[in-house]
Amino acid sequence: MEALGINLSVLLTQLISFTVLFLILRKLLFGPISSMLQTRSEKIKESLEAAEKVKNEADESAEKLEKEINIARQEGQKLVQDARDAAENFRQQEMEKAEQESQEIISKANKAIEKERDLAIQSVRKEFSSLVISAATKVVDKSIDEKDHKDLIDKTLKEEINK
Amino acid sequence: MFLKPKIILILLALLSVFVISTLGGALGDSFGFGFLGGPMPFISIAAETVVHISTPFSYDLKNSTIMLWIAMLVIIILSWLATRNMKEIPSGLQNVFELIFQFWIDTADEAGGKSARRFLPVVITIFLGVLIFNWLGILPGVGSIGKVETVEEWVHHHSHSGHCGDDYKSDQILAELCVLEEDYNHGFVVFDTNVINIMPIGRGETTRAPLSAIGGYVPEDISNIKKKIKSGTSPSDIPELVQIQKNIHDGKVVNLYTKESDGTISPESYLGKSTGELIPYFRGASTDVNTTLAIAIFSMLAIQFWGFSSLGFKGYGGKFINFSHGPINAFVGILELFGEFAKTISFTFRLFGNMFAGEIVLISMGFLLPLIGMMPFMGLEIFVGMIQALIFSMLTLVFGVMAVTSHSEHDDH
Repeated sequence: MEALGINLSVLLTQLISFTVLFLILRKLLFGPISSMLQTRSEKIKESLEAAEKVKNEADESAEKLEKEINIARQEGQKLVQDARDAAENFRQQEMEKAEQESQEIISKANKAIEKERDLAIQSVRKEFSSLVISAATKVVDKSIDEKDHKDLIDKTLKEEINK
Repeated sequence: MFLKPKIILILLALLSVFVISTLGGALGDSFGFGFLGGPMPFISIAAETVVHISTPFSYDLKNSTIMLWIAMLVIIILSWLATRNMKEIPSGLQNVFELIFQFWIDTADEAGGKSARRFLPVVITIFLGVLIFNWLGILPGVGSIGKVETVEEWVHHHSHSGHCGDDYKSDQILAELCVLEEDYNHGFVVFDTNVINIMPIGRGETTRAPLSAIGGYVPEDISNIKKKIKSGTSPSDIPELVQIQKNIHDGKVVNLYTKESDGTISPESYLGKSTGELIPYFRGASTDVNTTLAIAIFSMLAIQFWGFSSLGFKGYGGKFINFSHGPINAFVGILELFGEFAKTISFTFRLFGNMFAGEIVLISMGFLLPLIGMMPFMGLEIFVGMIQALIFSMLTLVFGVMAVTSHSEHDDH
């Protein structure tokens, strides 16, 4: 022990000094640094959580936006479809109407034509009967009176027309 | 490309430094140079006493204690600087300390979970303490700057300690005679100059003169003087003793002496030269067994405290004193008890051995190759100092974790 220099008073000095160092460091160094590390790690945790929250919110709103866009798109498509349908309907209706009108016009025109024709036939028949009477009169020279003559012609024409 | 004048100049400078250091060192000394060789410091395993206090109680202030206090001051100032102005975003010293703390927090979590964190104040104190003790011990000047103790002071101081100290209580002269008789072969450095209070330049180990050559006596003279004193003669009436006391007071080489190493007789030029003992003011705190033993005891006390506080007196004490489970368990308990002492001893001598050996390597290199020889070993010592600090504190942590682990848990599987 003597050769190694182990000496109780020196040993106690070193032991007490080292214990004092420990006590000082525990107060001076360990407290502040541990609490600093603690607060920093808490702060980092908090900010990470906040970031996570913000990210979630952003995700949520993006989802919502997407949904709304989808709805709007669907609505727009529906509107376009409706408009297209309406236009088609309208066209159909207009076409039908026009056809009807044209049909009416045609039938009206046909009727008018028929009437004209009847009138023309009547007048022609009138002219023609008188013409024939005059011609026959001239030929037979008053072989029959005018009234008999007329009846005969009418009868003939009627037969002729109904043939 | 290699022949640029600048590079040649650098190479020449390096070469000349190397040549100068080789010639000036111990190698050149054998060929008559050795102009840079300092006196080989007497490598003492025990720390040297710088100041001796005799009142109110006898106390030797060792140079390693001074160094311990300086290192404590350095650690405390560094921690004060680091924690004085703490910031959320760390910088400088705060960063360094936080890095160390974070390393130890992670290591503790790995070794014993979150509960191991309560060991950290002790573990980090040991780490920082041992690290700074080791590193301050490497500083130039530690172990080499000191005072010269005269032979008279040396004899007086040694008469207080050792077994000769027992004689001191009764008679100062007897105690000093005891030292002269026992340590007649103790070597003192011989100085080239008469001015002995500045660091001398000598020629290494060859310049040592034994105490008997300085006092001008042979051990038989002392036993004769002792007999005369014991028979009642007054010390001032013994002319031989008066002459020896005068010689010791002068501290000069008065006799030729035979060198122990090779049996040659010392040169006559040594006669009349001053002698003395080099006492460094500083000695690396961890190169003293007292310091390493103190840290080991501190560490083991902390470990026992953790063991008792977490397992209870019965739980932890049962590890050592265990007679209820048969003779084998009782024997194992005794082995465990010895194990705790073995841990203390291994803590002590691992650190002391490494640091003391490093110190000797540095001294030897400074002696062999002055100026440059120390440089690579300084780097090595910085590394070793950190590794030893790491080992000491890591083992404290691991032993702490082992101490708080319940013994019965081991028995279950």
